[in-house]
Amino acid sequence: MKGLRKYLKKPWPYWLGGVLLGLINVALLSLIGMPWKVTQGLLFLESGISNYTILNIGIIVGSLVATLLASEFKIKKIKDRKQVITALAGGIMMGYGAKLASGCNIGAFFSAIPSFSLHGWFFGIFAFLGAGLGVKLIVRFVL
Amino acid sequence: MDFDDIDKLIKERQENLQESRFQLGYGIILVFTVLLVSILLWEDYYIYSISLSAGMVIGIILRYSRLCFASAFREPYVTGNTSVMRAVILGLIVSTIGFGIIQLRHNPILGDYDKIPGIVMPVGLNVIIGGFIFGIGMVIAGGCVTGLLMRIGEGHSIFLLVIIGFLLGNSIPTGNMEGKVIYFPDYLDLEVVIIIQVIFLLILYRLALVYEKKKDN
Amino acid sequence: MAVRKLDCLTELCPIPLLKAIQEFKTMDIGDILVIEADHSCVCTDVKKWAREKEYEVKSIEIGPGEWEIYIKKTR
Repeated sequence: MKGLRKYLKKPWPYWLGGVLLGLINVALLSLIGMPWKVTQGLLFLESGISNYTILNIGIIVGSLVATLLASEFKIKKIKDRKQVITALAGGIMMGYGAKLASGCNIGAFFSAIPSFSLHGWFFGIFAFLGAGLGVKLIVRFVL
Repeated sequence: MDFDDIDKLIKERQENLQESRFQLGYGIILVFTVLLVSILLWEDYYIYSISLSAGMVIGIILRYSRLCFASAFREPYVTGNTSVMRAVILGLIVSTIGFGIIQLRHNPILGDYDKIPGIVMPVGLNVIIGGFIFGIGMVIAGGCVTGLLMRIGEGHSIFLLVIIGFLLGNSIPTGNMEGKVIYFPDYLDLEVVIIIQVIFLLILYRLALVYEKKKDN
Repeated sequence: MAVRKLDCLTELCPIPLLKAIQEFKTMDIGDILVIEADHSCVCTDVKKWAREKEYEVKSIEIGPGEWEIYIKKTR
């Protein structure tokens, strides 16, 4: 039992995660004809519940499953006001960016590049540049 | 006092530490519940059924591999490490080949980009500005949209606020700056495009590795 | 040998790592930093950095989903 417990706690290597996500994206496209997207499913207030809403619920449940398998589940509270502000600010920027680019880094990047559409590459390059500025802002204001 | 400093501290710490409760049982119950719901949905709601189980698998993969898209974009700046970024590139290579094969079997109708299996969208200023703002946002929020779903499952309540922020941000009106669709197979044969893109991604992988080594020294 | 604690409970990536890097700048060789974190990625993130820098690093779970990461400034 001890061995099993240790095994269930052990993280998988990153490369395995990357390859598996690539494979499941292909599986989604071939099984339901639609690739993996996230943003669309979050906007269920506007556009109603779609299969992507179900998929997002699946992700939350899957993550909960993995956390429980590793016996690591605990509800974590919010620390302070600073955390509230950064969470809201980050969220608003992601929401606006995803609206402009019609997708987040799944729909406009991880599923767009394999679709051979140039917009996926542009999204990737500029999100990478934005991340650089984001790190600078965190070092300057949050730390 | 050399090698066992940390061990000593850990030993002292562990003496008054209780082993946490085993939660495995709840996890197994949850997996079977989801599978049962998926089977019930299978006949009448095939797409929902697949989406639910695929979502669960994605959630498990994300949590177990600690793969985080925000980290893929961020780590090269913070520590110079590119292992997460390279994992994402590997995923892109796998799906480029997979999507490519699916698109090869699809009979294209010229100019009808909605019917192409995958996501083909116009590229323009919208994607450039949107991508840039998104990139800043995901670093500040501590995770991209996928990461936040994963972290809600892990029990982080702060990410509920990020979702509220996301919905607020998404309701800000945007001007019209749609560009033009650029779909590579319009210019070259799809087979050639697949091969070129895989080679290009392999080069990027290699560059990331070189960058990491260079930063290390 | 001094032992320093860094409370990073409920903090998200990359803040714990950035704080650790900052803390390490003011530490002497032989000192140990103990980071308390409750986010699974923080653990891998910080350990990856420490291993790359060839610092001695270990982590223990102190509760469900809560860890302490021990890093020794070896050089």
